[in-house]
Amino acid sequence: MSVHPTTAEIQTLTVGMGEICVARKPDLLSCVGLGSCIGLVLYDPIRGWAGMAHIMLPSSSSRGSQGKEKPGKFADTAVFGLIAELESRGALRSFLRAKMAGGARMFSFSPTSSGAIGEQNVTATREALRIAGIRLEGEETGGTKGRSIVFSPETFLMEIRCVGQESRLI
Amino acid sequence: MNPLQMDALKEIANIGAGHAATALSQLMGKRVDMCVPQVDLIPLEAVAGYFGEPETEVWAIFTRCESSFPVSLVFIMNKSDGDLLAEKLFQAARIPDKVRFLPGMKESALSESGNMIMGAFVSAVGDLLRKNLPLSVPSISLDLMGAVMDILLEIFGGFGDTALATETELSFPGESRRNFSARILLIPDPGSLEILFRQLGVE
Repeated sequence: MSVHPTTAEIQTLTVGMGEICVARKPDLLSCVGLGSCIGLVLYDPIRGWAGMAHIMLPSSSSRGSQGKEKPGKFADTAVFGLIAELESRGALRSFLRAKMAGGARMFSFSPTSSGAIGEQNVTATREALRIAGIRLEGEETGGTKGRSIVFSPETFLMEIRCVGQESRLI
Repeated sequence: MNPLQMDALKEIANIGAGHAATALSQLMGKRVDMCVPQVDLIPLEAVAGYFGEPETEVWAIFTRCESSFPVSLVFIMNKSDGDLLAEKLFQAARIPDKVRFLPGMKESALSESGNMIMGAFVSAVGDLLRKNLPLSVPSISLDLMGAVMDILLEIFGGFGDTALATETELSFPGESRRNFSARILLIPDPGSLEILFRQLGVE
């Protein structure tokens, strides 16, 4: 980590499956290879902190307590985990904004009648944001391709990259 | 799983993989080496990087077997190895250049070979278990390993914290200073192993 402002190194924090990471400028937040998983960012435009969760599954309630789970593993707990991290850094919940990407259907196969896990993750994340009262500012979800994302807490932009495609910004 | 069940599963995978290796070697016209299959119990948080770096671009061909032993099969190769396999297939089938570069040709060739290879796998297992194990039409993806491995979340996410797969590596020995290698994953649905072991009397 840099201590001298004029020679600041930019660190990119890669958020592993089920994890939550928090950063502010000049650092960046990243998820690699989001298939059915969701990369969810909550950011505080006022104080400049942003948190990213690598969400794996829709709901923590479906299987009861399985012991200590990673905070970003489920859509519902990830949203509240992100809020807690940002509030502890001075954010006011009503000013928080969200962006999300992922939730693809990598293969055309659905083991449950409720649909593929990617779609369930998208629905669960949107619902958790709605319940928390957080506005979703940008979203790129669904499709059949994996995504890697990089979010800048400075510009509030999320860069999305798919194999074989130009990167996009939301 | 007790040691007896583990052995039974490895044996099933071994027989399947042996036939898969033969099918691949017939497609390629050269010898294929096979590693002894492993049974992997993978914590769900670790699936993205378990079989390789999550950032690696891979060809992945996925197929389902809906049957009394429901399983999924995935055939995975690094992008360059998949490109090589497609190239060999085009050569073997004497596909002219102008056709082989049409969009989707590589996907079709790899999809078809994946289908043949996994078909051989599952047909051998079906013979062993005296079950009919049909395969679905395969689904192919060229993507990052981390994204492809999310399929294990799809299969196991609602049932526990761990995914189970048997894994076999196939390779060409000594292919111009670089080995081709591919993996076949046999992924039983949660619960299907218990049923199978009961049927086999391996409790």
